[in-house]
Amino acid sequence: MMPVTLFLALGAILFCIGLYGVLTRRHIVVVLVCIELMLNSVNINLVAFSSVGPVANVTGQVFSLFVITIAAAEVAVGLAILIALYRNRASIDVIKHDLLRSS
Amino acid sequence: MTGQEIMFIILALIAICCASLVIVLKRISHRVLSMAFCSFAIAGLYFLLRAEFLGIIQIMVYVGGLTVLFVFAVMMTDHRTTTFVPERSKVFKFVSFIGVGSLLSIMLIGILGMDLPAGTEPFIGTAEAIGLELYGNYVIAFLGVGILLLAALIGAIVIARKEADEQ
Amino acid sequence: MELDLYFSNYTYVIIFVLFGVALPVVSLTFGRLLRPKNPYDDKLSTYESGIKPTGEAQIRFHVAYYIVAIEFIIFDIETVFLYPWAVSLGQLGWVGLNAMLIFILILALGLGYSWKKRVLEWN
Repeated sequence: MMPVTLFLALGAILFCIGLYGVLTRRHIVVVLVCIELMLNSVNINLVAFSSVGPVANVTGQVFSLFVITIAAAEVAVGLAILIALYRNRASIDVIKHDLLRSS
Repeated sequence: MTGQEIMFIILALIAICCASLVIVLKRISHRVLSMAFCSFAIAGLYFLLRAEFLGIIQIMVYVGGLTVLFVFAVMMTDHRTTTFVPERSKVFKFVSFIGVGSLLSIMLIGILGMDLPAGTEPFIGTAEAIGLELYGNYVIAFLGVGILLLAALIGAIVIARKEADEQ
Repeated sequence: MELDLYFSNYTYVIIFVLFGVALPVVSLTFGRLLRPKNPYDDKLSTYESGIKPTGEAQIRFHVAYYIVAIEFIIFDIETVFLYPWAVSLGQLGWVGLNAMLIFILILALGLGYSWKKRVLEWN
């Protein structure tokens, strides 16, 4: 049986790759893809604890199912907002959409 | 080294390489394709963790659904004419790299220092086991997911649809 | 014992995946080695039913395609929840049946909304 720490380490690495992408990329689609990577790494943690964790239990996989659902809904709405933004302002650059920022 | 460990190493390498390619590659369609391959590798990891139903769902939703959605969104927006000047400053990139790197190293030190005992009752995450747990104990959360999906569907249609009205 | 059976079953899947990757790679590589190579402009141009290609491939598509993709992914998720329900319904009884009926009703509201707003029509 494989130790759970290996899967947790993989999840941490994928999460940090996604976080770096969210922080530094400027294309909105790329930012959403990186958020998907972060949610995937969360799922890896949930499934790893559910299968080879100290208290193996199927509940983690149920919650992972919920996470996948919410990721799909989030991408659907996020990309709809991207299309509306592009229509109104003709740009998909994250930095240019800061009208709500004061100053 | 057992067969499971070899499979884990191969799949983990594929996942990490594809996740890095998402950041490194230039063209947006290549990045989306790279995310699809990353999802494939993670589905393989689910199979390795005996969560076969979740593996199938991962392939169905991420590779079959979300990738198509991303590609459509790229097709909706004219990605050639959009420019990205000025680039994010080098200082910002460097600071975020240092921050994320230190976060990763702290997490890895914490994770690899842990000594978690493996579970004593291995089971297979079949659709039946998940169904019994989901519809036995989490019915309210399940109905909440239904309302969330309804809100996402209606919201996405309302936001994306204005153009169709004008024409 | 059951776990050994699980992993030995999936070795067939691994072999299948390896063959699936190897088949196009090997056949395309052999094709590249064997075929004569004689490219010219007419041959390299995009095939558009025999006439000269006009316009560009990377135009902006209409938003209706995206709305159909949203509908697809929402009802894709619905089938995701239908699978575990279907195989465990015998042990769940009326509670499971009622929960799924309410769930489908909620999503049918969304389908009815999109039908009423005429986003499913192509014109």
